[in-house]
Amino acid sequence: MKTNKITIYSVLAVFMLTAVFTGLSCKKLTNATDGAKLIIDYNLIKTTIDVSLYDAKTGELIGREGDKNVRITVTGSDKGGIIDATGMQPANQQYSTQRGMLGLAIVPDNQYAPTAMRPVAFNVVASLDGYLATSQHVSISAPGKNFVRINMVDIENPPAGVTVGKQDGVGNVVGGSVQETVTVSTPGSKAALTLPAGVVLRDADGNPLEGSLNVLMAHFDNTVDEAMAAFPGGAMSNVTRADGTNSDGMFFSAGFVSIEIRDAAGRQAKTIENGTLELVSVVSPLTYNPEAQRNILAGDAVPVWSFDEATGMWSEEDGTTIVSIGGNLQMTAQLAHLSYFNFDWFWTEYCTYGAEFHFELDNPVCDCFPMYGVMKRQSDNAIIKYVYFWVCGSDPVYTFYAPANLPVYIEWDASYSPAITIDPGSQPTYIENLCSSTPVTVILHANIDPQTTTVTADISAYCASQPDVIIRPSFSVWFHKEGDWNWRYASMTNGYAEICGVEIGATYYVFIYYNGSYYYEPFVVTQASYEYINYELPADVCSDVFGL
Amino acid sequence: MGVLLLCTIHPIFSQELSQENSSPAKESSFGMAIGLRVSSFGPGGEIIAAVTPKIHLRLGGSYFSFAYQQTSDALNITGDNTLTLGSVSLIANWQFLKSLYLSAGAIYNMNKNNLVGYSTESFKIGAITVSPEQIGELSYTIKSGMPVAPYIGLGIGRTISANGVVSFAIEGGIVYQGSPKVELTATGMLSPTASDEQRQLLEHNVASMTIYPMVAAQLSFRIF
Repeated sequence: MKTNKITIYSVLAVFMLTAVFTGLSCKKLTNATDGAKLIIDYNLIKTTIDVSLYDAKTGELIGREGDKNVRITVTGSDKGGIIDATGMQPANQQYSTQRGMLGLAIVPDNQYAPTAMRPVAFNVVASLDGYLATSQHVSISAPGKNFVRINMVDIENPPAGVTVGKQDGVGNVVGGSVQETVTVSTPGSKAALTLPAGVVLRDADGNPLEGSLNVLMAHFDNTVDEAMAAFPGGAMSNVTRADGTNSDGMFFSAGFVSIEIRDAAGRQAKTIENGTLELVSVVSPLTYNPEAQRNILAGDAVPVWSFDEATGMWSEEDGTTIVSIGGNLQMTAQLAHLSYFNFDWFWTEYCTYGAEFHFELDNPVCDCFPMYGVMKRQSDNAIIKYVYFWVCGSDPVYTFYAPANLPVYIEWDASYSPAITIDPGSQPTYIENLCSSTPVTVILHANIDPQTTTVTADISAYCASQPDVIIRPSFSVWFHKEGDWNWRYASMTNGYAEICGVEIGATYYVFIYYNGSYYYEPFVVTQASYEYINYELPADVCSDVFGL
Repeated sequence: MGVLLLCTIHPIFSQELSQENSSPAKESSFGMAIGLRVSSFGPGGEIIAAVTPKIHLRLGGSYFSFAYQQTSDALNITGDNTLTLGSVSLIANWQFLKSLYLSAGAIYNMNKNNLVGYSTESFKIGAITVSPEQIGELSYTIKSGMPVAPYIGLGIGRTISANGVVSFAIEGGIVYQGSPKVELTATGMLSPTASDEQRQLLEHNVASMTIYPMVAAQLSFRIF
């Protein structure tokens, strides 16, 4: 019995001790989720289009000092899928840039998911007082970063190869009818326009022009790089053929003329009745005829195209034939409406999936970097387009909708990536066929400036309305060093960014576009690592940008 | 995870709860019984073998699942919470008194609490419509740190009748389950929530929950 009692007491003692310790552990218990946050990655936008607008003569971003705004209208079949970089879509797809840049993006919606089989296509139409309106056709076949460069012609300061003629107070128009035949021409008679007596000029709304006319005419020499770089719509374009179908392809230009006629009241002539205007354009004998595979000769037929400034599309008109007058080659077009006119052969051979590019670096660099270049035809050295690749590590970069069976070369410009130099063997890079399965290899050298370092930034923010929700932002910024107008591009993903080649102690100007406004602020880099943890965001940013 | 926040319950047995009927006495010390029980691991059953009059082996199992919803204002997130209780146990009883026994053994602990958070509605940021699929899903599971856990307990009554058919027992004890483990996964915009840092924080919050209480009531029927 005594043994049994000892046993009972021992067992009870064990349980009491256990109870005490268990009770203590109970007191330590806290809410299992204390301190935990809902962390949200706002990297919703997977495809961005950074548009840069340059003066074709100076090569500077238009309004880089903040003094000019370029009006941008997005047109085309997929315009509904285009938003600005912060997710806003202004009415009528009309944007206004400053400092020559605009951040666009494709709305993250399955309807506008870019694929090679179903690219997202649209036009960026740019206009600015004092400049010729222009546009760029954009076709995006895969998610990622895209860069579009548009060169605009300053009427008062055109680039080489562009001749601008501006004549005010020309002729006399009554009720839209030209009273006497008038001929205006560009300096050097590169292009001449004749308005026969009796033709009627009306604006886009059908109103007749009245009084004297102000005529603005520009001729683009297709054999001059600077002129071709300002080619409206770009040499690679989507066009409307004579049969009404749309087609992708590339122009072989024989020249381009823009015409703008206004009356004293500012009405711009768009339609022509009771006759046609006659446009004569001089063509360089160095122009390459891709159909004959030789330089142009008298008797060659050339299609004529007109440009719709509103949509940024080229439409095929009747063709013309080259004639030789006084030893000069020229072509004549009868115009039934007023626009930009282009004398071009259209190259329709292209491939959906182009060659892949490999950028091989001798030493790794941090983060991704842009590779800019200008692609030219080997046949006539004409500029086809600017190319922009976003290079990340050793990942190949793919091309889409490339012209096929067309030898080209790319002249690289590494000035936007100071840590990169191009190997002489790859400058330029010759490519016999952009549609070949053979990869294109470009050798690069990492050129790390010992004065610079890699700066990292780590941002997590919250909104007062939802303090338990942590925001890890994703966005892109442009920046440049004070006194250096070479803009660079940096992106933050999920709250983290690495930016190479930054000088500690230097002042940089950071530029970001948000909700229709631009913010351009100086920033002195004082350290190699920045952490903005638990940063409280302004209420308007929370509601507009993050939906909180 | 509410069940894991439960503190240990320490039953104080102050009265004899064992009931034995007056069925004919069994001559052999070996016997077997089946039991029905309700415990803090859920309802279940047991097979009890009396190896000797004082040593009884028990093989049992129990299971219980309960689902409920929680909501969060952030991104209209709804949480499907599923509490699962369950065990497979192998326990030895020492019936050191007629109606008092000590238990020890091992329990395969299937307790876990799983919270799956997801958004049921799209929301707009500017011109962007963010779908529930883009927002993603967050899964938070907390479970025992030791799948097979030691157990010690004290029971009043009997899990197998000494000389009758029906027996009844109430039992209390503790299961040492170690510090609970947290599994955290997320997709879509919620992906960063499932960081290792967050998982460690959540594990730290529950690290002291090493003891799981066992409270059970059992009705057994001796079959031979």
